[in-house]
Amino acid sequence: MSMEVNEKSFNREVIDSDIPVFVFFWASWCTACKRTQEVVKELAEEYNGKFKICSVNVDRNFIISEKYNIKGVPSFVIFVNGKEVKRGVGAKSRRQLKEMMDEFV
Amino acid sequence: MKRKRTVIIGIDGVPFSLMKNLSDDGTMDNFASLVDQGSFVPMRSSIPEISNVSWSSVITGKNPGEHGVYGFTELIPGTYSIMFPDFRALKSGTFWQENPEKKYVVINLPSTYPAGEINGVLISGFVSPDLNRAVYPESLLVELQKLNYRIDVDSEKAHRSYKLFLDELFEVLEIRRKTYRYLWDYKWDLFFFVITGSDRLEHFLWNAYEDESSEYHEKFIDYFRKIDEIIGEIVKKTSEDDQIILLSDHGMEGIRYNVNLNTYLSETGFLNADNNPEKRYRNIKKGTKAFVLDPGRVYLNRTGKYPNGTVTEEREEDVIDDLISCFKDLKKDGENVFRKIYRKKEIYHGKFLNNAPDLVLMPNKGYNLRGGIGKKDIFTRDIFEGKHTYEDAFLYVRNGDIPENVSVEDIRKIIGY
Amino acid sequence: MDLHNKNKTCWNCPAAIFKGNVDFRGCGQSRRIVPKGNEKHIVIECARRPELGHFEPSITFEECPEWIPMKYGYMLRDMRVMILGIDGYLGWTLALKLGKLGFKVSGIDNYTRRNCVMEKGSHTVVPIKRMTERLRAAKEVLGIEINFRRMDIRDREKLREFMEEVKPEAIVHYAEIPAAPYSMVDAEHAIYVQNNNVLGTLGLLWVMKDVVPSSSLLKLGTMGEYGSPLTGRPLFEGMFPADAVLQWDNREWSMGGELTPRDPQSFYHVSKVQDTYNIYESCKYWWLRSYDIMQGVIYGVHTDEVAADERLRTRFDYDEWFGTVINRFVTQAVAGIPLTVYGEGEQIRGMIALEDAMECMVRLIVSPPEPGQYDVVNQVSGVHKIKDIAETVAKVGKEKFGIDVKIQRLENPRVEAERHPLEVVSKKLPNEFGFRPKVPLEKEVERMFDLLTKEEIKKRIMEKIHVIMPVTRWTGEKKKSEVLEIYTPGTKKDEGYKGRLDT
Repeated sequence: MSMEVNEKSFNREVIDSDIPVFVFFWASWCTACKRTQEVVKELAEEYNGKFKICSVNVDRNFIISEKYNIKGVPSFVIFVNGKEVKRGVGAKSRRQLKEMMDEFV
Repeated sequence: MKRKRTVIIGIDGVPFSLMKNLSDDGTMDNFASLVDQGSFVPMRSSIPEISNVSWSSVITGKNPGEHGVYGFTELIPGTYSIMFPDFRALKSGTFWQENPEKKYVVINLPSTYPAGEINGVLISGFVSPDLNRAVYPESLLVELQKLNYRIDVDSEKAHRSYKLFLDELFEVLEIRRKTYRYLWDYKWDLFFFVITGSDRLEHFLWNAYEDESSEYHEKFIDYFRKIDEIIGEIVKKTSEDDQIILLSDHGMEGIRYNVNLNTYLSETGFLNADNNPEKRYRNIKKGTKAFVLDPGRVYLNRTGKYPNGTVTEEREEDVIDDLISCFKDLKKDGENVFRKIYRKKEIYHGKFLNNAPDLVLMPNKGYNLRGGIGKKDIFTRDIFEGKHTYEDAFLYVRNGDIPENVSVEDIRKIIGY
Repeated sequence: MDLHNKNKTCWNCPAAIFKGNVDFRGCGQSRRIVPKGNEKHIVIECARRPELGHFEPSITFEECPEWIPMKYGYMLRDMRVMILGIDGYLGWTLALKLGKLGFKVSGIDNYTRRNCVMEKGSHTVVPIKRMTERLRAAKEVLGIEINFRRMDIRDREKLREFMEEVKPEAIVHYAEIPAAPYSMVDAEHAIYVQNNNVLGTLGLLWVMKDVVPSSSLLKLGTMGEYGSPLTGRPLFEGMFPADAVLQWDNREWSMGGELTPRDPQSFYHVSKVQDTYNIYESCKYWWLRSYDIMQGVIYGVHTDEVAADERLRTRFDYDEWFGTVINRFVTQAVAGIPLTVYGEGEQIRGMIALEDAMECMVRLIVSPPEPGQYDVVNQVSGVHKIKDIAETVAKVGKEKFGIDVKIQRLENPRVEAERHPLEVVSKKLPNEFGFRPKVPLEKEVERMFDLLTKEEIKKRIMEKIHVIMPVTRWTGEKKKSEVLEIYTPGTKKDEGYKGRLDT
């Protein structure tokens, strides 16, 4: 499944999740993000049950963005058991995103 | 008694009990000697006992049904989007608007943003997002910038470090002191000086006050010592005939539990909402009969009033009755959570009842009522230690009569205009 | 009502004041902000509804009483739209359409188009009135008040003054010289075109940043920016999709979001590409919002508004500089000149009829981008081969108007690929903005014949008939193109590439 997450729900949905979480940081003005959003949605279907996919709008959630040191968008951070285990910046192809996620399935 | 000028010192969120304790035990000596010269009583706040509602009542002399401000948050008509009512939402005149022949200096008064015209000076208190619009006249900004003026302390600091938070509280209090000193020599008939750091301090560190062994207890007391210094300073500058009023807008007490009311409404079938944390109140779906806005304001989800309105006019009374009995059932550890449940007409009167909550819940001691959507548990705790109270704001008056059962709405009567 | 923009919110609305409450930072730059205001929620004020104080920017167009439903979506009540180049072929037509829908229309022009066409020794086939008369007629016939100021877009002082006065909520930028051959005449012309177009736009951006940063800029680009790659790579809408991948050296990268390559075909097309980069940058630096509209070849004469009265007609050019190909073909047919196909005629182009283009513009205007968003749409309703268009024009001319039309192939004055694949992606207008083309090629061609065969109009064509044949070559020479062959329509084999439109 894929869901929007914000300051208030981040801990509950990402840090406290039982399954690995793939967090996609985006902004509405970022064209690379828009394209990536489509791919991410498809991946949510594919990895249902194995990975939770969450997206965070960086302009509307600056505190999380600062906490996780997001300097550019799109950024991707994978959390397992509440800890960051992998991160990537810049548009990624479907294959590259899958590669990132498959490591933790 | 002949009155020359009026000085009002507001100390946001300080309960009668605290002022009494600290004046009795010698911490606030200046205030203690003031008490000897006038009357010092507990005062009722507004319903709900939120700062912006209460201060609005103070400055208009009216209840929310007449001034139109019912809480910190409101829903924009026709939507489930949240707005934060400010001075523009106030529908009744303030004492300075209705008496423009007198002169005023008003410093740090909450709920007055954006700062409008006044015969004198107005600096708005919280919530004021932009300092440039919180000051009248604008020319005053230059001096305020020199003083490094700040509207509010950065509460974020309290989440990270109490020490940093306390440092900032003292820093801002000093800036406020310098500000009042700068403006004291203006011509005025009424000088209104408000300290708001007290409310911030108590919210985060109320337990440090109650528990003498707490590592922050001394600092907490010290803050009030500093406030007392300022009170002393100001009183010395007044003359015997001047009217002096000290007041708070609401009291404070310790939190035992936060009560997430919309979670209770979900569990009892009154509230039907999606779970998307981005959307908040916009998650409310059809089928919802009622929802709660901070702190304990219950609104019927009426057809015609809200996009997913469900309750029709004929069913209103029934739903309200159901809600009341449902709330009466809410207990924690065998104790009732609410001590009183008001219907709107019992507590509000005036032209603006349309926006009034249908029910207002008044909690028993220690229960901090909360709105918000999508919280998992009904009873929770978090970093906050202090919650507002209704019955024990405080009022002190020298050279003025205090009506019986005084509330914040009576301040204008005491001032006399 | 299921209007395409019903779920847009304050984030898209020009009346929302974000300044002071949110501090954006650009892609890849570091942020340092602590939000002011309450509880970490972003709050805004509304310029049109100050009584709301501070609130969450989450009210939808459907919910907001300032946005009212109409044919092409919800529109901001009395939305102020400024058209730069309001006297032109598109500018005037759009002004009338918007005015009729209830928008508050303002505009500027310095009559460059009229002057350039006169320079050619040509004139608009459809007679048009002077601006003062046009404005009066608009008021009389359609009840529209247009606030017009004569000025050059490069006069930033005047432009700023006008913008401060009007405070437009959307700016449609048509104030460019749109003629490829004109930009190839000589150094003076090339420099003039790039100066007017590129520096005009650049100046406009600086003025917008200061005066109306929350207004959206709807800028006319052109499909010609992309060129016609021989590989047949699809022409995406400005930027690559995320699953477009670059593979090299056994490694792979996503091209998602990057600007697609540009391959302009004249110095005029180059100026459009420069504009694209200037606007892209300004959205990055200043949080401006823009639609870069890659319009296909425009053709046609008709909208309900311009047809309402003779005095409201929009211009129609047919000379080798300013005439667009379909407009030229119909004119040539009426004038009895074989239709001028350049080279093989296998060139494929995206096209759109006037009426459809106007509808697209309205839909875009009422659905503004978010702060900082630079978006590109390919505004195309069909993809056609030049020689096929000639066949269609000839067919309509013969069957509906009894005109015997021939086609001629000329030496191509341009430097371009004559035989190439073309696949155009145009998904945003139909999928995000609810646009469906209403005007098939044949229908508009017929409407053009209708108008051009009128006696008075035909006379005007014949008056300046010498402007039709191309003499401006990309090589710089002024030399008439040789006729390679003249043929009867219907006698050529259908071969070569087929154009493709992905919606």
